[in-house]
Amino acid sequence: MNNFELLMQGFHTAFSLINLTVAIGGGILGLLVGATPGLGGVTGVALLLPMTFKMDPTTAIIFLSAIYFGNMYGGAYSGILLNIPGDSPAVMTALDGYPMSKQGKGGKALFAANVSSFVGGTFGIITLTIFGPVLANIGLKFGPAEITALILLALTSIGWLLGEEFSKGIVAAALGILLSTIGIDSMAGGMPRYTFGTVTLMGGISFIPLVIGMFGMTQVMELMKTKEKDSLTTGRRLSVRESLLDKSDVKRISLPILKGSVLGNFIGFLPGAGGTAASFLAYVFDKKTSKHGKDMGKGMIEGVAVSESANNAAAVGAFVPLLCLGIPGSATAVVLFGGLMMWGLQPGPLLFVEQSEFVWGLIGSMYIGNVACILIGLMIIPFLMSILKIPKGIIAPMIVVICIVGAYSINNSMFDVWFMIGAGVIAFILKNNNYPIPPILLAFVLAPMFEQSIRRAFTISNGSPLIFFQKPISAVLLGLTIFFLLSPLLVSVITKRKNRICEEKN
Amino acid sequence: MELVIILAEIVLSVIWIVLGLQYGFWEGGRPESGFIGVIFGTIVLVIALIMGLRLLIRKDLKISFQFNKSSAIPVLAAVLCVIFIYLFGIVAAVFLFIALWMRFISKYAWKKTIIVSLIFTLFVYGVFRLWLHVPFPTGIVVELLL
Repeated sequence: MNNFELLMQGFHTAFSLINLTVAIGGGILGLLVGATPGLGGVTGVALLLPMTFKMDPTTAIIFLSAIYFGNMYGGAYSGILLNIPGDSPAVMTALDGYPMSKQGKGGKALFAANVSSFVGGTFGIITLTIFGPVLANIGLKFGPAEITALILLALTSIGWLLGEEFSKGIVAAALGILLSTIGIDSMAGGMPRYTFGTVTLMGGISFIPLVIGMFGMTQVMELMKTKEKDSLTTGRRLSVRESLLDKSDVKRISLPILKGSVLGNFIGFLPGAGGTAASFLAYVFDKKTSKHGKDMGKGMIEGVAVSESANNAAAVGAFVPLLCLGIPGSATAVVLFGGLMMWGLQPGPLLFVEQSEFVWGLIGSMYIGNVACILIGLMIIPFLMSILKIPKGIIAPMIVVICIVGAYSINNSMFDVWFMIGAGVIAFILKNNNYPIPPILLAFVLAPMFEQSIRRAFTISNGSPLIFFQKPISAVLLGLTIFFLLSPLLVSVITKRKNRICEEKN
Repeated sequence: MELVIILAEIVLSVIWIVLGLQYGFWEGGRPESGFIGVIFGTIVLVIALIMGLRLLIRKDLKISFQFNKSSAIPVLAAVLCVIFIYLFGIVAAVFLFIALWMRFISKYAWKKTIIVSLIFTLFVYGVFRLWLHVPFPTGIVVELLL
C-alpha cells in the first residue's frame, strides 16, 4: 500500500467515535493547559499522561498528541494577552503579540496566531505523511558538530537582532547561558556546578519561574508605571468583527507563515532542537530577510505569524525522529516516547511496518486534532478578548497571583516563587537600562543543547576544532555565523566609504 | 544605575570564570564542566569592561534609571502574598491578596472587591488544585488550628 492508502486507513482508525472524542477533548484540554502560564507542553502532557492508562495505545497516543497540539496553540494566548508566554516557543510570539494587544489589536493577533498555527501544523503533518522516513534520515546527518554550529548561529544572532544596543544584547544572551550552567553537570558524572553549596540549586534553574518573573512580574511593574486606570488596551473599543483578518492582513502574513512552516518543520525533525529553537530561528530569519524586519518587536502581525507557524510545524516535525528513528525530537516528545514504551511499542524504523495501524491512525488523528484546535481556538477568541477589557486595578493583582501560583506549581516549591520575584526585579532593572530580556530566556533554553553538542563534538574529534569545518553542513553554518558577526562591521565600513566618496564628489 | 549593572556583570563573570576553572576547562583533549562557564563568563567580562570604560571616558555617570514608586508595588505585594501563603496557605492568601489590592490600591467598593476576590480564588483553586492536582500548602496558622 502507498502512503495515501495507508493514510486513508489511518483516517478510518482516527474517525472511530472514541478516537474522535479524545482528539477533540485532548485539543480543548491542551488549549487550556497551554494558555495557563506556568504549565506548557511538557508539563501538560506529563500531567495528563495518567488519564491514558486505561486507554488502548492508539487512542492514548491520539489523546496525548491532541493535547500537545492544543498546547502549541494555547501557549501563544497568555503571551499575546498578558505578556506571560505559556511556554518557551511563545516568547517570540509575545514579542509582537503583546504590543499588538496594547495597540487594541489583541483580537487580530489571536486570529493570526490561530491561523498561523493551523497552517504550520498542517504543513508539518503533510510533510510527515509524504516524506516522514526520508526526512528522518536527513535529520540524522545533524550530529553534534552540526547541532553546535546551528545553535551557535542562533546564539550569535540573538543579541544584535533583538536589542537596540549590540553589546547589551550579547551580554543578555551570555547571561542566559551562564544561568543555564547552574546545577548538576550530567556529562561529568553528576558533578554540581555553580550551586554555591545549596541543595536547592542542584536541580538547576527552572525555565518557567524565570520566564514568568522576567515577563509576567515585569509586565505588572510596567503596568503600574502607567497612569491610566483603564484596561490593558488603554480603553480602546474591542470588537470581534474588527479583529477578523482582512485581505491585507492575509497578504501580510502569507509569506512569514510559509517561511515559519518550512524552517520550523525542518528544525523540528532535528533530534533535540524543538519548538523554541524553531520559532526563534524563523523569527530571526524573517526579521533579516523582509522589508518589515526593522519594525518587528513593535507589534507586527508578521512576527506573530512566523513564530506561531514555526512553532507548530516544529511540533509535528518532532514526531518524525520519534516515530521513524525512535529519537525524541523535543522535551514533550520524550514524554510521548515514554508513553509509547509504556504501551509496549518500540519507536523506530520498524514501527511503520509492525504497527502500521497505530502509526497511520496517529497521523490521521493529527489532521483531525489540528482542525479541532483551530475551530476551538477561533471560537474562544471573543472570550479571550474580554480579558483585555478587565480594568488594570483588577487584572494587575490577578497577574501577580497567576505568576506566584504558576511558579509554585512547577516543582511545588516556594523557592521557585522567590526566584520568580527576584528574576522579575532584575529583568525590570535591566529592561529600563536597554538590556533586551528575550535573549536571556532564549539563550537559557538553547544553552544546554549547545553545551552537550559542543562537548560531544570535541570528544569525538579528540579536541580538534577541525571537526566543525570538515563537515559541509557545519562549515556552512559556521560561515553564516561569522558573516552575521562581521556584517555590522562591514556595513559600517561600507557606509563610511560611501559617505567619504559622496563628500569628495561634492 | 548603568555603572552598577556593569559592576554586577563584572563580579558575576569573575565568579563564573574562577569557579569554572576550578571545575575544569579542558582535559585529555576534551572540554570539562567549566568550559562553557569560562568562555561565556569571559565574553561578559570583556564586554562589561569595554562598556564601563566607555562610560568612564564619557563621564556619563548620572543615574539614568528613573525609579517609579508605583513599580515597586507589585514586588512588595508579591512578597506580602508569599508571607500570607506561609501563614494561611495559598487559597486564603490569594483571596486576601486580591481583596486587599482591589480595596486599598485600586480603591474598589467592598462589595465588588469581595465578589471578584471570591470568584478568582475559586478559579485558581479549580484549575490548579482540583484539575491539575497541585498540592497547595495550608500555612502555619491553619496547621496550628487543625
